[in-house]
Amino acid sequence: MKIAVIGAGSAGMEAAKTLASEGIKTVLIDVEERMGGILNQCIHPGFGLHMFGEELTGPEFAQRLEDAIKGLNIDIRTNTYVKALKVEDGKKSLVLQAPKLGEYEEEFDKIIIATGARERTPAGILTPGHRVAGIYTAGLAQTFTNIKGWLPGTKVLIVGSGDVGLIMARRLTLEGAEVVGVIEINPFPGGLPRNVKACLEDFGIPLYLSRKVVHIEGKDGRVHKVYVAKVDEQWNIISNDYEVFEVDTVLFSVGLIPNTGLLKHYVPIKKGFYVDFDQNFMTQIDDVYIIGNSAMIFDLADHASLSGKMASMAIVSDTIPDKKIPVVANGLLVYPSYITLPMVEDCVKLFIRVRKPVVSATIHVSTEYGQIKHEIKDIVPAQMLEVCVPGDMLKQASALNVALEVHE
Amino acid sequence: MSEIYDVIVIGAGISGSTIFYLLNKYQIKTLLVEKSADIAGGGATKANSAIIHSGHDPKPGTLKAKLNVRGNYLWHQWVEKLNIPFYPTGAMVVATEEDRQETIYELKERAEKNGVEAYIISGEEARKREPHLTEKTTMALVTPTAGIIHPMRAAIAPVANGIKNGGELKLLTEVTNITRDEETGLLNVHTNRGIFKTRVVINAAGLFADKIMAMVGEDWFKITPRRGEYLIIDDDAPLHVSTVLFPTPTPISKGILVLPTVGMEVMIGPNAENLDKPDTATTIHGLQTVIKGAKKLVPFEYEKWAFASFAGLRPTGNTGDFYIAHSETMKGVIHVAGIDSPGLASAPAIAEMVVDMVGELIELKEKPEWDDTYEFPPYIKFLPEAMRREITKAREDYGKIVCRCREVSEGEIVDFIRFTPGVNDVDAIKRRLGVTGGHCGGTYCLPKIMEILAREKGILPQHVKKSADKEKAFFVFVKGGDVR
Repeated sequence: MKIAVIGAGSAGMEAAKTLASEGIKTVLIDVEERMGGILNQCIHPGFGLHMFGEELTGPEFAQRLEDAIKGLNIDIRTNTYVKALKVEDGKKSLVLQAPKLGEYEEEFDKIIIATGARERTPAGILTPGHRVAGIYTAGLAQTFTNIKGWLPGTKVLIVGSGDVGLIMARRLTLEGAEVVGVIEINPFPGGLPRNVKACLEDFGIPLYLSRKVVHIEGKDGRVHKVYVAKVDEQWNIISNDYEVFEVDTVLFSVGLIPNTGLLKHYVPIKKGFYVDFDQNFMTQIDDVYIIGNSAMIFDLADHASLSGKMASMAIVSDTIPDKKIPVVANGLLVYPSYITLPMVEDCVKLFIRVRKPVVSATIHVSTEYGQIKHEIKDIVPAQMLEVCVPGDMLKQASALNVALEVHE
Repeated sequence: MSEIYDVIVIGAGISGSTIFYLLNKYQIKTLLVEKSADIAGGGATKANSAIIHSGHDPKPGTLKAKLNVRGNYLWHQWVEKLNIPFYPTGAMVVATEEDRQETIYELKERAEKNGVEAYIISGEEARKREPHLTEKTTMALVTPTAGIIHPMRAAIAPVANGIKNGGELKLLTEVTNITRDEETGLLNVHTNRGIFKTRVVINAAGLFADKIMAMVGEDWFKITPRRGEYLIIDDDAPLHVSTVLFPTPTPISKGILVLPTVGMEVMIGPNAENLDKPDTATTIHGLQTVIKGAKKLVPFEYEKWAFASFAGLRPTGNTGDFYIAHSETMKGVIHVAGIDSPGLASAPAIAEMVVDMVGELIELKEKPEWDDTYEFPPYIKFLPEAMRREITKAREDYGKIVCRCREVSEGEIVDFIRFTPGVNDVDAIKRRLGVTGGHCGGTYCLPKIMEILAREKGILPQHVKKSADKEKAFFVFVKGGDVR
């Protein structure tokens, strides 16, 4: 058996490690010159607590994974781009391209997609204005700052209070730029509470909630002014009294999009660019898996790695899927979207997010065979919850229902 | 004594570029001046619908009708000679239950008068061809000769060919006045880079053609920049169209189109808004208008799947038609003004017409060695598989993908910087190869492209600009203080 893992980030490296440890012939492919993916640009701490029991930076976390796979028999192909996935008569192959080898095609028995996520662009949220230098996604600014050693701007407004945006507010302040504020369209911050504290409050950077960019004005080819309006909970503009930020740079941290494009000819790409997968991260194509942020947006790299391990363990167990049970979510984001039986492990792990901050609530997980109540307190959308569903609740169940009951 | 040109063309947009191409067929000395940093770097050519219209729409008898139909015919030949990406998608004018059905028949009649192939199909047939069309589709007028073109390459190839055949290009050269040298009778073209003497001047200044006309005393002509906004839909989105789709026009509006791009993404737009002065900002209202309009034709949640937006300006004149004429006040000057839609489609025919007019002023003798072809460096993604395999293996940098969204290799970027005229900034590379313009918005590739351009030009990445003609268009600063 030969398995391709596409993407050598936190999920892909862990998957390759798990497979190769079991003696499976594994090819680990990455388009970049070095492994690590987005971890390489995340020089802040906060990685590894779950995986390694200590706090690491992104590059350190990547190095741990890299060290772990180096001793194993893995065919590592960096600098290699995957042009296409081909599925024909049950046969799966990849069209690859690399220097010297050029474009070539190779057949695999199983394929694991670990292509990560891309950032939603300013235009992706219909940001109006001039197209000038100085408008970047937060992740691009992170590459400029942390990998290349270039400063993306001297006076910066950050749009979106997702974790990357918050981390860049702190990073750019430390690098000598002036961060005039972070604006957020929702009435609550998008990132983890610990990042709001450590990246904004500790540095005196203001967070403006319920705000939206209505115009970016350029001058001489660079950002000059950003016009911001107040919005209601439905994101409608409620006032024409615009706040004007005179800055040379505006960073957008407005969400991540799973890179699922390789699958687009074979399975439906759903809203948000997600594809369906089961609890073992197998897609609707037999023997094609999707893990890490290309499957769903994880809160922590540790959890993205875990998905790589889960998929690999399922492959190793060699269980043949027999029955599908849909997961029906009510008021929550729940992954996976269906469960296949027989199960590989004793329980099925559900990854759950709330859509807006919750002070106190119960998550009800139920089938015809039983139910679980999971109490939650002070949870924000950035946090990922895990609930384990035991096998005896599934059996011949027609559906697994997951519903949120908010306590007044 | 400075050199004397036979013809100076002002403006390297699609009109100026194609005129320059045909002029260099003759034994004359030509100069093309452009005020921005790139061929078609400043105006209408770089941002539009990229359609080679069939010519079904302009009013019969107008210059627009005549030149559009001829231009469409010529483009079909030119794209082969000049190696310009062109897709013969055809177009459909779609009627829905809410539209005035007679309009479709009237348009067919108009197409026939203009000499354009057109036929009507049922709503059912239209939806068979384009399954995403609204269920309310009742019928459609098909014009098979319409297509989409790579508008930047459509301007670059003719210029590059003109240079190959002896013509001269000066970028970042802005015309400030045109005067007559009484002693010699020659025309003096005053620019920020000095005065150039010439026998003939062609005003193809696009959005600024009225300013040039005013310089020679014809201030009656006015250009209104008419802004059109567009959205591009992610190519991973569950939406596909392969034909240019027009709604049924109303007396007020031509409506919002849904069409494929040369990169095979779906694009929607444009709206139409008259401005006092050129401004390519997108607006909340404009983008909403575009989305709302597109939904009538192809229902889809565009707001959830878009990844790029832009605005273009059409240089709309005040005569209701193209204005192509010898100057009434200064002999030797030819105006090519008010070239709004269908300017791109008409360009080759406009060029033919203008060259004939030049022939009325000076003698045009053909160069026996004129070569009318141009070959761009390879655009690997669109080559057949066997050729792709060969070429990506032949050179190491052709194997290395830099832009993941558009699958562009480092070698292609290097070739375009070295071998196509006008590449001085990142936007020039974007306009040629699509890099930084894919659905990652440049997140993955921009730093690499900055490094490649810096390396090729011998500068620091901190000195690389988004647009070379803009003073502050640097992407990044030096940490700890700016050394610029």
